[in-house]
Formats: sequence, structure tokens, C-alpha cells
Amino acid sequence: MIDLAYFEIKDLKVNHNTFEGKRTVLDISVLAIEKGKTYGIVGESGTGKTVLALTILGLLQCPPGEIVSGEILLDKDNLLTKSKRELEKCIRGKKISMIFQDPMSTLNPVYTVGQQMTQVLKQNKNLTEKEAKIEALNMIQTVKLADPEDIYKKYPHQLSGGQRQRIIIALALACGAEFLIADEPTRNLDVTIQASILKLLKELQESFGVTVLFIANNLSLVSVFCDDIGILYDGRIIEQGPVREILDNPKEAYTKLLIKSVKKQDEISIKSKIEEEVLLDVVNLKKYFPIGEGFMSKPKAYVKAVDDVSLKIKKGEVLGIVGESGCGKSTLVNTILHLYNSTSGEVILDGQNIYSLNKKESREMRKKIQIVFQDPFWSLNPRWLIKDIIAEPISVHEKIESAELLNRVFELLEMVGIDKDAAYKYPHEFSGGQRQRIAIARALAVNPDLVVLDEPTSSIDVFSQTQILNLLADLKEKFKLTNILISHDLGVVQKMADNIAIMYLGKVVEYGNSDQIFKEPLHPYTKALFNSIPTLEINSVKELVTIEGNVPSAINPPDGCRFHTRCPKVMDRCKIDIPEVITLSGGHQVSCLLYGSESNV
Amino acid sequence: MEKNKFIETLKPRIKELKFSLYLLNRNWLTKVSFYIAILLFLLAIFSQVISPFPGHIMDEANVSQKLLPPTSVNFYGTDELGRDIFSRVLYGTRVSLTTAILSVGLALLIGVPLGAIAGTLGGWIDEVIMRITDIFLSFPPLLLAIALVSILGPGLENAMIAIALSWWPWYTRLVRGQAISMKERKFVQAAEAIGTPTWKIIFKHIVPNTISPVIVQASMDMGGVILTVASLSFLGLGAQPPIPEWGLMISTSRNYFPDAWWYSIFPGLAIFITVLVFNLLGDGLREILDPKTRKN
Repeated sequence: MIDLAYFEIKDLKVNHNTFEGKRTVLDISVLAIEKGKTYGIVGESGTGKTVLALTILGLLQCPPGEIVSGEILLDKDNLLTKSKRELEKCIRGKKISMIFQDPMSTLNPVYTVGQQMTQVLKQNKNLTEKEAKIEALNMIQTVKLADPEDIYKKYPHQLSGGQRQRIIIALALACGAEFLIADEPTRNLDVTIQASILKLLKELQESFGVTVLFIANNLSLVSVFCDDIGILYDGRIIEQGPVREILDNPKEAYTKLLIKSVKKQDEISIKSKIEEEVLLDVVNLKKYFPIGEGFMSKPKAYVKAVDDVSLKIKKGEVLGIVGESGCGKSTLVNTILHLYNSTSGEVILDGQNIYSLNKKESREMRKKIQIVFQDPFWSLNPRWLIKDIIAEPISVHEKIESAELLNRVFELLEMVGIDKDAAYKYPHEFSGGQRQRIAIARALAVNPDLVVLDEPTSSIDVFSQTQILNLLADLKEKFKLTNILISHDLGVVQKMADNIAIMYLGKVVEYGNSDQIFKEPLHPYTKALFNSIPTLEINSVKELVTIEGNVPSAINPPDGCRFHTRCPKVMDRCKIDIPEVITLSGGHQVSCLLYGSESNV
Repeated sequence: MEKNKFIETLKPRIKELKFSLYLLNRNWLTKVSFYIAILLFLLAIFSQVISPFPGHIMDEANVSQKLLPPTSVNFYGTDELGRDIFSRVLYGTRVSLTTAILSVGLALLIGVPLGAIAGTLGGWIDEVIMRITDIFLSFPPLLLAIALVSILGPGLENAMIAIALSWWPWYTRLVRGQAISMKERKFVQAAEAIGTPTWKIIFKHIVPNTISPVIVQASMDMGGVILTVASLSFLGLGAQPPIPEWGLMISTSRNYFPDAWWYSIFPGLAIFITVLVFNLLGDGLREILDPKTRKN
């Protein structure tokens, strides 16, 4: 089998020189890919994924990098012994291409798409201007962009993220590369767009017969796309083989953990002791951001980030809010936290409308709602000691002696499982998971009733993810907390949430308990969203459901039902009538004209 | 036990210091300029002790020895009053460094809070502050300083005030930009969600996080400010005789040029070296404090 390998890595060792000495960042004894196959590398950030890609392309910065030993063979040709010139002239672009994770910075913003494509084609294929243009248009058509002539003339910023990534794919394949490195090609895209890009990539890979090395941190994504996978951990491939074999029969503890963290739960149930009393009542909340507002001039338009949202959260409940980026979930939470003033509508906490409080009452109210942010690096002030970070909420609300304050800090640290010594350290001395614990300690410092969890586990490693979720569940029990959980990770929502609200373009399109939402989703958007997310249960990209079109702008949302531009079940009425919220049995709410009073399900 | 804990908490600080020194040592130019800068500060502090003729620093005249070329007694020669130029240039280090530090310090004191306030609060406050800085920035800084000194009257203190007043808008701009990006950081939102008062958010959360580029800019500006002080003194608007200010010395020396070349050359060299050292030092500090521009 090794003889058939088209791409091969043998005993590759890469070091990184830092002031503390040498560190091995990559140590791969063997990696082989057959021609026309797809190989996926799964690893968390910092495990050497990008170093691997750069080493293959000969783009690794040396120093500080240092290739100690090994061979990288492409078609029996060792890339590591090639000169810079050879790599530039014969390898990069012609034999190996790369798709980077950020399409905006890969395309040059000052040239049109056409200019960039023809330039590459002229350089690598010795075509004339005219031939290059025809070829470029051809490629744009190949990546299934409508109206190639129009796209050809556009600048990168005029395209959506998905369109840009398609252009990048076109560029990568334009010069006949046979080996493609895709470094998290869908990282910055919405899940529904991600599915369509994956489908396109798979289709092209098969029709062009390209060999692909697919790099990502998301196991389900890689498992859906690739034939073989390798688990990268600390610079080494600890386990590799065909996807199904690895998933069904993992050997390493790390792999097992990785699989467990993304696996869907079989049992969905209400997890919390929910009381009858409503803690937070969001009534017709709207938040519009003015744009084009200048000094003494009126705004030209509004971004309708949150448009008429009503939700009720009972004491002890965990409400999950799910939606793509830009659907308004973060704005909704920030408005509930009173970081923004609302445009209209009320948020009633414990019987009081938070927007009608005076300054003193408002500060009291802030004690009741706290938040844990997604990114544990920037959520803690990098210039403050941990003790000051955790003490901040307490000292804002209470006059308290410093010795006692310090004791409270120690208690809080102990509660979240961090050593007392941490008090005198700075945030950068901790790992992502530890920082998230510190952020949780700060949120709980003033005994809040409601804690908002904004993607609490999405930027930390899998080891910590489970621990953080368990910690949150324990603390919730202990302090009788109510939670709002924002996440795009359905696994996390499934594990934690009692009730779930699905948001699309500033509106809640469906609401129900997690049983209802996961087992019998009603809204076409919910269904599409769930089926477009790669999971371990899906065997091939072809099983993913894609939603056509782009998410419309929130400045000019579509009339009628906001989802009608992309809805697979669109009717004529959807373009005119605004769907009402319909409550079905068991409190399951949906706003879709398919479930009108006439056509009850 | 408390003491042990304190030492324990110092360990990571020491490691950071070592890393800073490592970055500093990587570039020999920065390294040399760093040591010269330290030497300059030491000379400034101990100038009176080191100088062979401390009396000559101010107005002790010795006319019989006037305008002597450099010898082993008067390393840099003597001036028109027979004073030792070496002693005076040496003391000039103290004059220039003190004025530079005080001017930049005053400019920071005005510029940083204004920038932080403008960036954090935004809206009309931002608009007003930034338009005022625009007005200040539309004059060439030297001309503005000259105009201000003419209003305040000549003298070293007034020159310092004038320089600070023409320099602060640069810091305001710099800090405002930083503050705007810091404001979006989650730790600021977390503080708001807790109910931390706005002034505390500005001065405890935002300002400390904008300080690195400000330090870099300030150290680079030291050179510029030393030049401006010298220029003002050269024009007779800054230091007044008998203060041994470099610009003033060059100004007086013009009358004896080119015969007494040593009179203008040595103060000139002092200005050149000091300004160059601070510029290089600024680049070095940027390397340490700003990871984004760091070379690998």
C-alpha cells in the first residue's frame, strides 16, 4: 500500500527555537496518502497543524523553525531538498496548492477577482491575457458561482465569505495542482455555508482527481470529508487509519475523549429542577443599530440585530440560544445584560424592567445577571492580577476590608478548582480552560441569579471542555442558578439546555424544550441547520443538507418571513405575510406559515 | 510563609524580565543604545561629581583661559569666558534629559487621559476632543512651541510647557485608537456587566492596556523633544545663560566659528548621539513591548 502512496512523509522532525531552548513542534514518523484520496489531520490549536502545512509548502519561517530531519515525498520527489526557486517555479501552485482558512486575507483587496485569477494563470500556465480570462471565467463557473462575468469584475470585499472561499478554491485548482492542502477552509464560515463549500470541494476533488490533505480542529468535519484521518497531538500523529475504523475503535485515550466530546447524546431530557416562577421575561425586545450616523446628522439606516424577540426564562432553567453568526444572539444577550440600551421592548428581571431603573437600582440589578464569555483570553484584563480580577465585582458592590476580600477570592478560586497561588499571577500564565474557570469565579463572585454562558467551551481544548461543562452543572446545582447558554455547538446545547430558542436574522423562529427541538424540529430553518452540521454519524459529505443562498443583510431583511429567500419549502405567501408565533402542544412554538391555523399539523 | 509566597509570585516576573533581556540582546544596535542610554542617565545624575571644573558649569569665568583648543586639561577646549566645555556639555546632559522627561511627561499627562476618554466614551465628547487635537496638529510643532514661548516668555520652564502643549495631541491620537480597540474586548464588557463605574473602566482597564505603544512612542519622542529644546534655546527662547544647554552653547559659539570649532562641535555631537540613542532605544522597546512587530 505504501508503494502506491502519492504523498508521503517519513520521519519528519521540526524544531522551534525559542529563548527557552529548542522545542519539537512536529515529529511525524509516517504519513502516506494514495493518489486521489483525502486525508484529514485533526488536532487542536497549537498541536502543529499549520506548521505541517507550511513545512510541506516550504514556507516555514526558518529561524525560528528548523527542519531537523526527514523526507516529504510528492510523487517520489523529495520536497525538502528542493531549492527555493524550484519550489516557486515547479511546485507551489502547479503541483501543490493551499486553501487558507481566511479567504479575506488570502485575496488581495486592491485587485478584482479577475485580475488576481488571470495574473496567476498567466504566470503559471504561460497564457495570453485573453486565454487567461476565458480560463478564469471557466474556473469561476466550475466552482458554481452564478454570473461569472459579474464576479470576475468584483473586488473581494464585494463578495460574501462563501463566495470568496469558492474563488480561493478556483485559484487553488486553476493551475492544475494535483495535491491540495486545505487548512480549515470553512473555519470562518456559517455552518449552512460550510456545508455547501464542503460539498463543492468534494465534488471537485473527485472530478479533478485531486489528492487532499485536510486540516481542521473539528473531528466531525474531518470525518465527514475524508477517507483516512490522523489524530495530531503535541506534534505527533498518535493514531491514524480509515475514518470508520478510528471512530468505531479508537485506541488512544485522547482519541476517545475527542470522539466523546462531539458525539450526539442519545438520551435527551430535562436536566434541571425548574420552578414555576419566571425569573426573566423578555417582551418584544428590539435592538437596532444606527448606521451612517454622524455628528449632528441622522442615521441613514438601521441594522435590525434583534427584532421583536420575546422569551420567558423560569428559575432554575437553562435556555439554549442557537443560531448562525450574525443572527443576533450576542446582541440579544448584551441587551439583556444592559450593555446596550434597547430600542424598544422590556426586559423584566424579578418583576422589574431593567431599562426603567435609576442608576443605583441599575447597579443593584447588575449583581443579579452575570456573564461568562467565549474567549477566555480577552475576557480577563491581561494587566491585572487574578486576585484583582475576581475581587472587582465584590469591591464594586460592597465596602469590604482587603483581608476579607482576599479570603473571598481564595474561596471562589477553590470553588472553581484553581489553586490559591493563582491569586498572584496574571491571566497569560494560565491555560484556556483555567482562564475560563477564573472567568466563572468572577461571574459568581456576587451571587448572581442568572448567568449567561456565551459559547463557554468553544475556544478551549477538549480536555477542559468536559470539565468546564461539569463544573458549570455543579455550580448551577449548588447556587440554584438560571442559565442562558449561547452556542453553535449542538452537542453542548444538547447536554446542557432544557429549552432551546432557534434564532435567524434577529428573530426567534422556533422555541421548545430540547426534546421537541431535537426530535421533531418544525421550522425548515431548524431542520436545515441541524442537517448541515457535520456529525460523526454522517458518512459522507453528500448526506449534508445545504441551504442555498447567503444570509440576507440585517439592514434590509426580506419582507414576509425572513427565511423565505433560502427556504426549501417557500410558498408565495411567505414573501408577503409575516408569520405569527404559533404555539403547539407542549409549549412548542414556531413562527412559520407552514403551521398556520388552517393547516394545522 | 507570606514572604515565601511573595518570592514565588516573583518567579514569573523574573522569567519575563529574562525574556525582555533576551529580546534586547538579539539586536546589537538596540543593546548598544540601551547601554549608552543608561550611561547618559548616569552621567546626567553624577555630572557635577564627574566634571573636572564644577564651577565652570554656570558662570565662574576665567577669561585668561578663553577659547583654548582641546587639551588634556580641557578635553573639549574652553569657551569665550574660559569655561571648560567638557564640564558644561556633561552638565548639559542633565539639562536636556530633565527637560525632555518633564516635557514628555507633561504631554503624556494631558494626552493619555484625553485619548482614553475620547476613545472609550465616543460620541460628541470624542468629537470635541479630537477636533481640538486636529487644531493643534495643524501647526508644525516647532512653530507652535515658538509661538507659545513667545506668549509665556523665554525660559527653560516655559519652553517645557510649550513643548508639552504642542506634543500631547500625538498621544491623544495614539491612545484613542488603542482605547477603541480595547473597548471591544470582553474584559471591558465584563466590567460593565458587573457595574464598574465608567471612570474606573477608563483608567483601570483601558489605560493600562494602551500603555505599551505609548511607552514606545514616548521614548522615540525623547529624541525629538531634546532637539526641540535645543532649537528653542538656539533661538534664545529656551534656556537662558548661564545654563549650559547644548542648543544655547551652539548658538553662542556661532560668533567664534570657525576658529573655535570645538565650541560648536562638541555640544552638537552630544545632541546627535543622545537623539540617535533614544531613537534606537524606541525601536528596541517596540521589539519588547509590541509582539506584533517582533522579528522572529
